[in-house]
Amino acid sequence: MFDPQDAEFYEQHAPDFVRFASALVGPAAAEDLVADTVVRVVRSPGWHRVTNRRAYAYRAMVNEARQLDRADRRRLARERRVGSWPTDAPSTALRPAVTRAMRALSVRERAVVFMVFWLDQPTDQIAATLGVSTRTVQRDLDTSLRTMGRFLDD
Amino acid sequence: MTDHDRLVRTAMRDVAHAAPPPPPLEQLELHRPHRHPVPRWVTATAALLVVTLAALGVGLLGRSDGGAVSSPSTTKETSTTVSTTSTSVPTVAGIDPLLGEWATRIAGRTITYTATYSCFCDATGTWVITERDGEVLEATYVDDPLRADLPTPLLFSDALRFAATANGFARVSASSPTSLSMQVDVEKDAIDDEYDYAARDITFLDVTPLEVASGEFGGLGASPLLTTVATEFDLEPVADTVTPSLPGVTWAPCLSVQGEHWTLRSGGLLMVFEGSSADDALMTNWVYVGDAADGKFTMATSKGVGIGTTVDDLLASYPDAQQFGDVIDADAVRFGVADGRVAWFGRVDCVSD
Repeated sequence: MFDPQDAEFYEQHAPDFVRFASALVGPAAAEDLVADTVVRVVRSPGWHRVTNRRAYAYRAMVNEARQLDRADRRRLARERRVGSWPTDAPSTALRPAVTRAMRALSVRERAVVFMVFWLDQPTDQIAATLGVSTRTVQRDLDTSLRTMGRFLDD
Repeated sequence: MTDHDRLVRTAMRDVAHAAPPPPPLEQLELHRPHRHPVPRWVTATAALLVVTLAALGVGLLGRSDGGAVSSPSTTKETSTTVSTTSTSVPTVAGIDPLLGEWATRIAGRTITYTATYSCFCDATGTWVITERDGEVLEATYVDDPLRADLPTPLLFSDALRFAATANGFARVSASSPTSLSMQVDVEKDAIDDEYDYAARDITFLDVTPLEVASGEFGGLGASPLLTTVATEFDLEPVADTVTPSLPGVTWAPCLSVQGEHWTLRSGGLLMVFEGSSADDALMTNWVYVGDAADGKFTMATSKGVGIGTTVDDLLASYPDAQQFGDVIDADAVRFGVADGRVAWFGRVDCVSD
């Protein structure tokens, strides 16, 4: 399935991908998100024509995470309806405050915060990667910082 | 940097450090993406929407293509290849043979078309594309020409290539001589790799004008060899056991021996060769019936007479022409007439007799 060029691409970027995925869906689901996304993009008909594959993969991961997020929300809603307690245990690898702060953000907000504070990317680059305007990135960042402040400042 | 920013940066560092090691490549080779749960009402609504849109699309396509079909210069080939197929609820899985025919038709050619690509990816949109044998010559993103981060267009040739290797399905949802719409699932077990692709207004740009004088064209002489013409025009000879049927022409092979003639065809140009073998077969007849969508050639006489020329203009150009009912002979060429205009022309007598 992987030609040598794709394999090289994966080996080169995989560590970055799992870190980003960890920000999007948490460390426990990061591996699956990366695997799902990479397999999908490599099989995508237009993959061989993508010029910036790294950015493409980042964006694909955000889209994939959104799907998972929606499915997860539906599952939680179902569990609440039938009276069961949602599994809420924080990841053992992270401080509870960080876990709660990340949970309070949308997938795109998590992506923006990670790209700004870990990848040190400028807003216009983030906007190009995510396919949104720089204004949207700025708004997401402001909202995220306010939201995270409620948990991290405690 | 504020204290608050530092806290967020530290949190992001924690998140990054908490990430597991990346899955090994070998694991990905075997990985099947998870299927996202889709509520039943979504699939039911989507199915209903597809059926409705497909029905509407077929109606619209029928209207838009109808004009071209009713043209006076419509050829037999054109009228028989027009097929507006409604496969909104396909019953046969697999790869539609029409996709392969289009792949052959555009191979090595320069074409321009409007492509509408719909997928679970970033490249969704409408493009006007010019490509030559799989290479992009020009591509304009119609949806938003000023968009900075343009997605990469999917070429018609690539869409056909992926369709040919799909192990899910590859269906033709609508087609005409100048358009093709397909629905493709590249990988049966993968999700979100399905795509819809429509190529409209497909126009072949590498059409060579051939001037006809005294029944000859392309500098080939009156009776060129099959091998010469096939090489010169890059066409594949077809051994013909059936006398070619042409509109308005009573056709008879010069040698009157079945199985000993060959044809070369490109769009609206048909050439017939006869001989004891393909190596010594000579062109004995040819006829041109108009510019079919994928023809490599467009033909007219040195005096500008071509398909659609009025009989009055033909007779003015060739004062010595002789008219016999609905055919006119002039300058070693026979012109077939329908509705007062030239509908076909060529050398339909055995010139090598």
